[in-house]
Amino acid sequence: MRAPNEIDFWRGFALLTIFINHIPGLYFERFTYRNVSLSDSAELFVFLAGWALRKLCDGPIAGFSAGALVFRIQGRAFQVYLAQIFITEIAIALLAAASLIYDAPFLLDWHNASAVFNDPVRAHLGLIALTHQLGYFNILPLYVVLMFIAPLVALAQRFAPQALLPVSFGIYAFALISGVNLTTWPVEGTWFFNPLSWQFIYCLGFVLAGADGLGAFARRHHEMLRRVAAPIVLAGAVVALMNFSPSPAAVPQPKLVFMFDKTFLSPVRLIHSLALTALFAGAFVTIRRLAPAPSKYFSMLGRNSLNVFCAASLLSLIFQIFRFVYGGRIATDAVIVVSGILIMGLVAWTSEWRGRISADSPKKADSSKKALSPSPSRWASPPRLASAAVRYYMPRRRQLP
Amino acid sequence: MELKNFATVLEKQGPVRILAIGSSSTAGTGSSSSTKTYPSQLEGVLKRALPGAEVVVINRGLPGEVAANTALRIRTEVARAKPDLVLWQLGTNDALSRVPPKEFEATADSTIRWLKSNQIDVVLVGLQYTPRLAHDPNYAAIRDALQLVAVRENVLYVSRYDAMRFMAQSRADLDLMSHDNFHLNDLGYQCMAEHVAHAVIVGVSMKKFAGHAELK
Repeated sequence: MRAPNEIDFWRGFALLTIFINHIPGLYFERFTYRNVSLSDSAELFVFLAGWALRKLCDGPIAGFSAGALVFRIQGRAFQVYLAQIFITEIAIALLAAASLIYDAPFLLDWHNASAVFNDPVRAHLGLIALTHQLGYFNILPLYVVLMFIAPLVALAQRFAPQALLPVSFGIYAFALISGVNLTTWPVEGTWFFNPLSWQFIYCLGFVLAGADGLGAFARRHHEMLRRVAAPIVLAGAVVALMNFSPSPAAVPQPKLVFMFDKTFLSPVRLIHSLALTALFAGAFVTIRRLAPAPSKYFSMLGRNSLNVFCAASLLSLIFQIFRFVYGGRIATDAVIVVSGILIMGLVAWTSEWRGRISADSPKKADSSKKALSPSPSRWASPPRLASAAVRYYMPRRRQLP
Repeated sequence: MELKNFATVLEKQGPVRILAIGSSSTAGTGSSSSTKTYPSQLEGVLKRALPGAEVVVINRGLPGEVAANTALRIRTEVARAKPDLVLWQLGTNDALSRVPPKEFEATADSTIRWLKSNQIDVVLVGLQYTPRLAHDPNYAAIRDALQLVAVRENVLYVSRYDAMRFMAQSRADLDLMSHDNFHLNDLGYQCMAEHVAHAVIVGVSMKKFAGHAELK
């Protein structure tokens, strides 16, 4: 388990924000940063995904052959794909169960689920092909596409690093200018997150995480970039608070370039998101000093981002159903947020606990089994669980600043 | 409340583009095919009602969507489809998700103002009637909020709730609902298309009458 770090912290922060933003009408949604920002946690999440890929490529798999690298990264893509299929199916079952329990057939409509019940033959093909996506369950399909192209990104970095960003920008600009997006089926429409557009912020995260090139430049000139970023972030806050959005009639062609469009990641959103990154990069040191416990907690969420994301997506749907049944009040909304944070933490903690147990050497496990017998299984051994808990909660000096 | 821009394009005999956006009732949940949804049927009704006019209806219904998310899509779709009129069906999912009525009003208000500032006419299509939610206070509150928005913003409002309640309570010998008793069937969507077409045509005529009044 790695020590709390900046990337995991912000990823955990993005996960919590996504959880809150995915419960419509929730009182505490107004305190999330998208209300004072032109970009939101989705940009942060995808940027950090690119960043994490670079850390993987420069670190644990730096010495891999090209073939091994492709296989290693593709494995992650399949893992994300399976997670998407799994949580979508659970979400469908949750809606089905709620519609039966509460005699509410209209819940089968929520989040574009109705095709699964009314047109199951085509909808199931769409689910597997990722062309049928439930609302709020549409960021993982983007992530799957990004993970499938990740080997290309990694190989480009290895063999033609100068070409990576220009090609990525070319695809981004093509999508913005042409308005081309992947289509959905059987429900007629397009992807909420256009992969042709969003791959650019992913690649930017990848390039900026590097110790050389643009990454080195950004680190060398961080102070200057921060000075440039501050007014952009401030202007973004003012524009967001004014609820301003450009008029398509008033802007020249290609209009998507000048809009604040999320699907196509319009340049304003991209620039604002990069400005936020520049402004807050490095702030983790201060945050960890001022608030060590939340820093550790968010980092733990971020370290287990896929499991926590899956749990958060399902939790937000469960709490939407809860709000339909019991209504939306500030007190119950507060309970929802606190429960969500705790359950997300529990999911992260159990993921790490499982990981630690399976990482223990068989020899060590055998000796401890002897010592702790008569428990027949080390998985169920209470003293080991207790020791894992103690290990986690005891402060470790090497992780503190 | 007249549909000024839509009528102007009609007068110039240009093709009129209508963006039908909203949730399941726009997507056509309960219909037997994509040609039986209310936007598809509306295109036929308007072509018959406005002979010679070139009418294109674009369907961007996404089942189960709350207004705040549709508001985001409206901005994208308007930039791409350049409609003269937006038919926005909204409210049901906000009521079911317990979105506070004030928040719902703010979303609808700001989006309608944005559409108007882009010289795009708006017709709001309201919540459906179902006995299951007839006494749900939140459902009623969102319905009232939508009516308030329509009055405040001076836009046409198709009160589906009243029409559907009338049909349900008059025990008309017509089966307009699909098997879930919440969505319409093909015939129900035809009724809805005619209802919306009626509002659109009245909106267009109002401009004509207003023009005559000015001439006099």
